[in-house]
Amino acid sequence: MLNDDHYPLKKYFDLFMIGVVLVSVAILIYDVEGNIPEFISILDRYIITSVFITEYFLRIWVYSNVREIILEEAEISALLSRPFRSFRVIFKIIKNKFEYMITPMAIIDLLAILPSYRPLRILRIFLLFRLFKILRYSKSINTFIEVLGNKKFELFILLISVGFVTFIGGALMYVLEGGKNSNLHNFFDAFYWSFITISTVGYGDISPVTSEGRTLTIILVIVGIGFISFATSIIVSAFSEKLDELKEERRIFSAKKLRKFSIICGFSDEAERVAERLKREKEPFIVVDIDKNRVEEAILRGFRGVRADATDRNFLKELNFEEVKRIFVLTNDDIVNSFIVLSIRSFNRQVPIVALVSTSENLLKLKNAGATYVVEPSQGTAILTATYVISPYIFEVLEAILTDRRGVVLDEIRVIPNSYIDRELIGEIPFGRYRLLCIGIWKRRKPPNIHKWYLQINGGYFFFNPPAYLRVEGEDILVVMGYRVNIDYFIFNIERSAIQ
Amino acid sequence: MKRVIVFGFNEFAREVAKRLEGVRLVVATFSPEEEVKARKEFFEVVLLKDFSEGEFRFLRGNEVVVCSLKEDEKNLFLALTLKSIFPKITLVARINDKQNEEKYRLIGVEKLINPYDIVTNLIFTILEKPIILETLEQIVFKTRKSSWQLKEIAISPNSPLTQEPLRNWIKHLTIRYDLVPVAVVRRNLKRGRDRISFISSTLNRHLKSGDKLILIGLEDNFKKFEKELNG
Repeated sequence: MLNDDHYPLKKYFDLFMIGVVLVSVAILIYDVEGNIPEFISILDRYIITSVFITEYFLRIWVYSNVREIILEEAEISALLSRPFRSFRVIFKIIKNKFEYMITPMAIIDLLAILPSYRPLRILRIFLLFRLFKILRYSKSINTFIEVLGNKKFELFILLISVGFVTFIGGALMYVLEGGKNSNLHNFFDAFYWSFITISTVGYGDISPVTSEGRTLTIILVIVGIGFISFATSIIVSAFSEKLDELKEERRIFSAKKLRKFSIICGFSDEAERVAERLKREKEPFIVVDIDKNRVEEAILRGFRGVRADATDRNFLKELNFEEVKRIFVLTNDDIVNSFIVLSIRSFNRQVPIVALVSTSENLLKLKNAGATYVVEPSQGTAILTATYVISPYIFEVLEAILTDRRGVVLDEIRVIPNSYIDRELIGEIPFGRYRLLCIGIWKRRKPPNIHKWYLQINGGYFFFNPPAYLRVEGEDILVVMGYRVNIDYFIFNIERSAIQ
Repeated sequence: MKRVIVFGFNEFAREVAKRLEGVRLVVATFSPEEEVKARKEFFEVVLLKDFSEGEFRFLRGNEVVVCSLKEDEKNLFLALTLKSIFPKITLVARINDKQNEEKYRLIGVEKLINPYDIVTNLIFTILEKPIILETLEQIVFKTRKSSWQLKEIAISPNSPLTQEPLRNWIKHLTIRYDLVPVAVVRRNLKRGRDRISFISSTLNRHLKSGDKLILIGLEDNFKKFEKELNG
């Protein structure tokens, strides 16, 4: 829990620790005035301190696995057939733990505990180190430091030059005004004045009195402005570089919280329409694309866009496939599509994948790569166009079936085993009561008593106009036509009877 | 026989042309290479030089035209040219770039084919209703050779079908002829536009002369039905 960012309770633990730190610092500040009730100082001295101590030792404990070290040592001893020496192991463990204890974070933790033991006035300052402990619990502050860490070199250069110029300025001031200026007592004063001037803060407690000193001040102020803008630009550029990356991380992180979501790989024109439809149906989804501009366009359109490589193992590892409902692979390049499908399949075998194919030749290849369904836009569009040319009405019927937009729809109803329509005759099912028409039935096995023409579909048999004497079995699929509400009510009743 | 002109001979146009059965097909193109390719598969091929009026003299003005040139610019201009020469022509245009959809509408194209919408619909149908889509593919798209058909039947003035509400005919159609009624096209004289509705929303009404019934069934059953209807 202490180290794993993804452990759900870590957030609460961190919040709790931040609270404890803030309380302890608040007590310290009130204590300066010297009048706090007894019980609060007990709380401070014993309870808060013990929380910190416990945490400190726990962190030392989880830093490395003691058992592993012992086992490893035992194995080596057995291998080299030398006696197992416990002091060697203990030394190793201590060395290992010590490694942790000298990391900056661990030192801050230690300094936060120490002042509680010695009520010395000066050590109280270390209590403020408790504030630094907050760093540990806040991810954003850590990223802030990380961002600055990326500019280590530039910041180092800045520090060196500021130090150098301050030193020279201080020395010159001391030489020019030492003795003449009543406020300037020693070299430290001159150095302090130089720094305050360069930083453009300019308290004015020490100010130049000679014209040489004032000339020096002018030069120092000009240089100071330069330094400040330099420092600002370093920090700004560090952030702008890191910002995109951070946003991406956040987006992937928030995508992980989605339940039963779809993934669209490649933000092509087709993908845009699919995304619009998913949005309309209020289904959660993310759009993944490798191209920055396309991801930005997706985000602009109000979709959850993530810039990532869908074939990248690290990205796929991040995804929780248990919650992925289906994946759409919709780039306009068959080679890319096949590669994406293969990459996903190598990770997960169950998730349904719908892939686009632009050339008919590649249809089989994509199927073999593991796509559950392959859609060929040019083919489908051409067929519908030809249908329209021959008969606009039939085109409209097809369009209505495909779009579901009218009040009446054609839908598939799965016969749930043990529901009230299971093992029932077609003639006995009250389609009329729901104002439905039974158009056909799909069966996995061909019933022996039926002599009708059928279509072979999805490894089963599809019969139009099923006769009244045909028996319905579990896992059959009924194709019915009717109003959406009636179909939903029929499905609801089937499901309810299956539960009873 | 209905005359259909397909402009352009790219992959899409070729697929359309291949599926146009029972019509007189003309392939028209502006590119000599496309002309050569088209001649290998189809009889009537016309090569046009430009968009001048003289080039379109082979049209009569009552045809169905499929505009499927690769570039939207030219495709739009083609549609514009055809509409201005022959106001009564029926235009079917395929959009290449979704941004141009509105421009085609402005010209007054009768049917816009938007590949992106079609693909989206196909994708969702395949996910939600795989059996229905596969059935349609076999019957309409003819992915497998079969004698199943989705067909419209016109209702003549004294057809027996007009005498009783549709509900009473369903059993007859399904049991005697094994035809599946799917939809009805009702002629709307007031508005001049036909309305199409699924069969189950119009069960209580009578069919009228000029309406159309859309059915699924085997070719032989259609023949039998039509024969008995007329005789």
